[in-house]
Amino acid sequence: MVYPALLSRVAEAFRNRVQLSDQVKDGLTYKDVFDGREAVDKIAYIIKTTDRNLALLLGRALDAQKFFHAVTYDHRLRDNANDLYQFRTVVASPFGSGELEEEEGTMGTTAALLLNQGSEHASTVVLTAQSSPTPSGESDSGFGDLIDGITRTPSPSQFTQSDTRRANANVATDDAPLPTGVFTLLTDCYSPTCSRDRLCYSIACPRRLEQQSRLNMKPQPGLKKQISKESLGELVTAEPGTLWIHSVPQEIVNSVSEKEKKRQEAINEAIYTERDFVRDMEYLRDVRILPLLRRPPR
Amino acid sequence: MKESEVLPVERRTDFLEQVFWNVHDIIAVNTRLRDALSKRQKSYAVVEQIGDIFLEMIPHFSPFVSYGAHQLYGKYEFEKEKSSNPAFSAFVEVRKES
Repeated sequence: MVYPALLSRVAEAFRNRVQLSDQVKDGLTYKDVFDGREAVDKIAYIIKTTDRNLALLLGRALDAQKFFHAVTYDHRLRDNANDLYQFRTVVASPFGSGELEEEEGTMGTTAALLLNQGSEHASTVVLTAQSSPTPSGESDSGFGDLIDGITRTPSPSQFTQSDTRRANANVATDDAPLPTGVFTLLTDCYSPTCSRDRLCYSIACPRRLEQQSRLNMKPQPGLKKQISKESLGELVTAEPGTLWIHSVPQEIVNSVSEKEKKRQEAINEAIYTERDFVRDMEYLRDVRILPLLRRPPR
Repeated sequence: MKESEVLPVERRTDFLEQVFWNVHDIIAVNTRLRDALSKRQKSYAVVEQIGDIFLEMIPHFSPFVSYGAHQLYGKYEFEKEKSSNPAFSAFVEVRKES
């Protein structure tokens, strides 16, 4: 099982699974390529989703780091069998390969911070993902770039360094280093009580939509306002003697009998009389009694 | 006029107790009743009943008995102070006008 939020893991699994072949496009034969549909298929399989858009987004996060590129170098990953892609290969450098490893080490700290804040970021991304139009694959701007901006940051060193080293040891030396980064859309929730089958307490939880659909709950946009019935402030300061029929919606007034209306007015009177009484007593206390008790000024 | 000079400090507490007796207990028990009633009213557009609230609160109404029993003494102390203490008399009258 590959943790789908870690780009390096997904990239590694992807490189191991994808079938490379020679294919012809526009009369030219390209060696060791794969097509866009297959790429999305594989990513969807790796991250265990049926959502091809999600898989496509993740694929674009990978190509944003030049993990692979269109053979024509002119577009991003598309979910289309006619578009061909190949992995980036590193041209042997006369200066050795130490440079890249060093770079990764220094960037690890920033990335750890990113992971800590991952859940918060994820919420923003989830919202965006829900409301944005489907990425068509035709354009390189917009949503794809947004996702890239979030995910291109290298992931924490504890994940990637060993990861990358292992990958480097396993694959041919002309392969480029794996992409690194955290795909926050797919990170787990920070809450230890959040699980697949229980709705997370946090409205910002990236799993929440998934949980809601699993629990057959209606997705609710954001927070709902619950009118407080505990606070007495408004009633205590209300104008005395307000009639019951003026304090409830017309539909409710219409729904009760004449007798009930009279009963409600009587109940209302008993209640506001008690409020008035307490108000009068408080006046007596605050304006009549307490001033007499005050110490004389020195 | 300075309210603090209306009553001599040494008699102040006793006097107020005699006049107002246990009014703080009355306020306390009625505040509870008021809050329970208001909460009921806020919770239901059509209030089904309030009798249950009274049944629950009335056993705590003994301060009224004590207050009523002492009311005449309070009235006496009040009138006595008013006739013997011009400052107090003025305090009462000024308050009435305002």
